[in-house]
Amino acid sequence: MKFFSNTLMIVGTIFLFYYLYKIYKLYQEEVAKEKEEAQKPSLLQIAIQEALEEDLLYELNTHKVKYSLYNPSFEGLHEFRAIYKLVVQDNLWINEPFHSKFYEFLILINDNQFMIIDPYSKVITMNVRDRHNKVQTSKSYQVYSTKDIIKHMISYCMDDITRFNKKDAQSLLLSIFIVALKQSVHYLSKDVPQNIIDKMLVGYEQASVVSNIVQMVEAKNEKVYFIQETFYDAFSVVETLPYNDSEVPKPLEIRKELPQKLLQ
Amino acid sequence: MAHDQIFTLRDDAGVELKIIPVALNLDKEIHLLHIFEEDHSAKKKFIRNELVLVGNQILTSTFSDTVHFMEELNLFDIGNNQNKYLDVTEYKNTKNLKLRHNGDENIFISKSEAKAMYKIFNLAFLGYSVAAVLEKEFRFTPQLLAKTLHDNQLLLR
Repeated sequence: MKFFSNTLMIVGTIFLFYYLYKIYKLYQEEVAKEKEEAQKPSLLQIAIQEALEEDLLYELNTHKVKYSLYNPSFEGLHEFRAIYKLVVQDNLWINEPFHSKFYEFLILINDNQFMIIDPYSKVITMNVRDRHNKVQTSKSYQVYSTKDIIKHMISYCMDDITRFNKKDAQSLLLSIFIVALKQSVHYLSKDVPQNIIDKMLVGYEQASVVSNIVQMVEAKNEKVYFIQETFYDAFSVVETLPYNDSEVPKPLEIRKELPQKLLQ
Repeated sequence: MAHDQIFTLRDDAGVELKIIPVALNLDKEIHLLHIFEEDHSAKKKFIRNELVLVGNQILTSTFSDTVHFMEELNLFDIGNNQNKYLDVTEYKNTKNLKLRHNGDENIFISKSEAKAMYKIFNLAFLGYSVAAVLEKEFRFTPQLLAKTLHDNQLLLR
């Protein structure tokens, strides 16, 4: 009897251990399953993943955008390289006809030696004997180069100009050329600059706006007074040059065709 | 005008030339532009040209013309209608010299002024060698003269 009860206890203990082991196993499985589920991505994450994978199929658009521009260095306009960059490239003012008209003005100013007589200059009459011992009478005075004046005016006006809307700003910029040209005389030529200005603006759609702005500048209108101001300011900054009127007159140079624009 | 400045330029041989305006008469704005070269090693100064500047006008550009102008001053009323630069005029029984020039205003020179100017002209050569101006006078071209005047701020009002 005793033997029987002992055996029963041993068997019972073994069963109990086995049962405990089973429960432990089950618990472990549950934990593993939970862990697995936590690691599994959610539906949203799957959707994002898929979307990202789809995007990666396209190549990134990294090539440089090219614009059709003039090349001042190729066409002998070295001095206007910085101005061209400041006006056209920095603001992307490549709309026609402004872009070509602006470049046409740059070429006109670059190719011809326009000058503005210094209001503070003396006019000295000189009676000088030439190589053939004949007395030649000529006049000397000091002048500013219109090219230098315009370069100064544009670089200092650009901030004020870009505050206006694009169309007005572009007309304002062209009016700077005209304000300066109106004060200029052509180096050793009898051409009156007014004729040149009229010729330059023929056919330009904003011509009347530009001439209105010039009139406003001349009437010292407050809104465009900064143009007049930089014009006077240029006189104190730009250096003067000597000029003697005894040389052989030079004709006005105007290029017949505008150079080709290049993609760059 | 900057009377007190000494200005520089160079001749064809690269010799540095200096310019000094010498005032002959301040009221009538008549100046002598002294162009000379300096040899520091020999401690000598050589006159290379003399110009007469009246107001805003360069009246003579060579040494011979300048001397001619000065001699007409020196002759004063003995001069006659063959004078090139100065006319002999008379106002209330007093003789005057009237400058012949392209300018608008009339410039009259009295006898004492003429004598004084002639005196200063002769004094201007003291300490200089005059032989150089006769042998190798520096001749200005209008362009060079304009540039020289500009460099020395003589074109400024």
